[in-house]
Amino acid sequence: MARVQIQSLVKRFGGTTAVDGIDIDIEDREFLAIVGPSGCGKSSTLRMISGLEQPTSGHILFGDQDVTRLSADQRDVAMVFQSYALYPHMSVRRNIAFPLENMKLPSGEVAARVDRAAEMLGITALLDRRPRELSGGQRQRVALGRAIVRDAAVFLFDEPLSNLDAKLRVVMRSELKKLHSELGQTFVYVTHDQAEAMTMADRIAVMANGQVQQLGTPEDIYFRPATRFVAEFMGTPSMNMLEGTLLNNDSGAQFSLTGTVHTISLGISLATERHQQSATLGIRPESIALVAPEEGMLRGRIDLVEPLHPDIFISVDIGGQMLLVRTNTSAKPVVGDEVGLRLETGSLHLFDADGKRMDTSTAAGGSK
Amino acid sequence: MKARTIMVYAFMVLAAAYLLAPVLWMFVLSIMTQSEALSVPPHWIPEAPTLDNYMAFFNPSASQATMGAAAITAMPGAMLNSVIVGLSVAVANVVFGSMAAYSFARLEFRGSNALMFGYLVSRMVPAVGIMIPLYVVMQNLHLLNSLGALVLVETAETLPFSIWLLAGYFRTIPRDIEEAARIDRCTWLQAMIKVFLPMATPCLVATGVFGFMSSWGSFLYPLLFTSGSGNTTMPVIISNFATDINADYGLLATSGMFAVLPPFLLALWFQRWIVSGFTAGAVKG
Repeated sequence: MARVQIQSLVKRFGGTTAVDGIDIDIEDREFLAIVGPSGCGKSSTLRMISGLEQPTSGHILFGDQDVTRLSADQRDVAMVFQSYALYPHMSVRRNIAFPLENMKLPSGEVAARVDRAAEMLGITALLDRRPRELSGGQRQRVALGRAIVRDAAVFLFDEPLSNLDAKLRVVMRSELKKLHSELGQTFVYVTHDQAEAMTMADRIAVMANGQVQQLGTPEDIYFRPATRFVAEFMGTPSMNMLEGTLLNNDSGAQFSLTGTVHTISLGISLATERHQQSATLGIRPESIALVAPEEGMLRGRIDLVEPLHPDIFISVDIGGQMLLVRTNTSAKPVVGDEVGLRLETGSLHLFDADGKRMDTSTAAGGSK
Repeated sequence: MKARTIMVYAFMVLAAAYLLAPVLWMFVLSIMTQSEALSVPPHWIPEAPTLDNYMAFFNPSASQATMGAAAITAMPGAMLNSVIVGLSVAVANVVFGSMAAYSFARLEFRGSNALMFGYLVSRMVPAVGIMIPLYVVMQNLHLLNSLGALVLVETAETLPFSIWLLAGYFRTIPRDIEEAARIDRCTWLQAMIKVFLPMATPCLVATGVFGFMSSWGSFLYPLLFTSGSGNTTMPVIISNFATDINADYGLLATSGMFAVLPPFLLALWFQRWIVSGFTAGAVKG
């Protein structure tokens, strides 16, 4: 159990910078997910927390102790690898007991702890088998067992579910979440799967290009993305991004869509001096409703219908730009139909030309 | 299709005969009398099989052999010498080979490829070509007539190949497993001993066997660096059964039978370690 502080952490490999000065403060007993596309620096960050990789600069603290220069075996961390990394020449029992044996615990306690961990994970019957005799899901449980058998300060997970099939992944997801609440330990979980991060984590750090784009609760991340990258990365399907020009005048802000005839009245006023600037308007597919052509804020033609019951995804061409709508209407939309679109003004997200969220409190909450 | 199968089998039988006939001939010779051994055409099936040649080794003084007696007496000592040299070379190959191979497989250092290439090239030099310099070196080290000289030379000759063999195998062992051991509170050395080397067992055994066999069969080095029956190894002693005056083929073949026994048993014993798929199940394939 420990609070983990990551301070100005930098990792360079030759000329490339994998982690570019990140700060994360992980609470004791927190479940933090680090999520991002491949190459964003999330795995390097985790490896530096584990001690398998030395940072170029910056500090890592477990509680009050600076562990930056300690090697992996000197830090009190448990880790589950993407590849499971079981010891092939040992039985499941010895695999799980291995860290305890190295910690020189009395054999009675080792046996008791192994039994308890095996019971928690439902692998008691497998204890005398070798890793090669196990299925992928069973191996994953053994890898988990080897971690939870210890009373480590921090538990690290490096994409532990990505080698499992989709169905098992969902099962393991909820089991991991349950495990976290049972163990009451600090979890740091790296994944490229935003659904895993959303469902399990207390807080999520979204990384891109070696930097933390946003650190917040799943709700923050989803409903108030700090950057355009976060907005597009989190959520399936992705948030719609409309390019255009933001016009700011006394009567309120308006957004004129590039390449179309549309101008949307945002119903908010922006705390900006500039009267006109290029910007991006984001709206999630579920925040758009299909209405009759004359009733919508936007008008367009249905380009594609993808039924993924109970939801239906409809791509609408609004004359130069596309919008994806998520609906569960019983009416069958037909390709080519003219439709109106009503956007929930409370769910609009504005990003400036640099991709930064604009005056977020006003933009999202203005018309509520 | 049928004709083709027959052809394939015929070829395999020929190949097997090519490989096994000398061994069979050695065995047949070892149970023949000297006069039958010299008969033309040769008898593949002895008319009067005898164990006299074998008995001679256990009871040298009663031997009918006239010229092989000295060699017979020297055999047990030479065999022991061969075993000592063989085991030493095997251990040296495994210990130094695995350390060097680990460096090649896991560490990134300047000139890594060039160094490995250099090692392998050193093996291309024919032994005869460096015989005289080697002899001078051994003389200056006062190692002539000692088993130490043989261990040194045989190890130098086999180590490059062992390193290359082990490095290739080490690269197939996933890094994750070593890292998991570090996470599981092992120091680097503990991770090496408890996890890495056990996973490399098949290749370590193969390397040891390779080192043993190479020195076991080596003739030129012991002939050159050692003299006298007490200090030399078996191949040299065996050659003593044939002199410029005469050759006792029966004793020659029998000593050959004794010579193949240890490596044969060794291979049989270690076969169970040299199994493929040892690392299966460690990581997701």
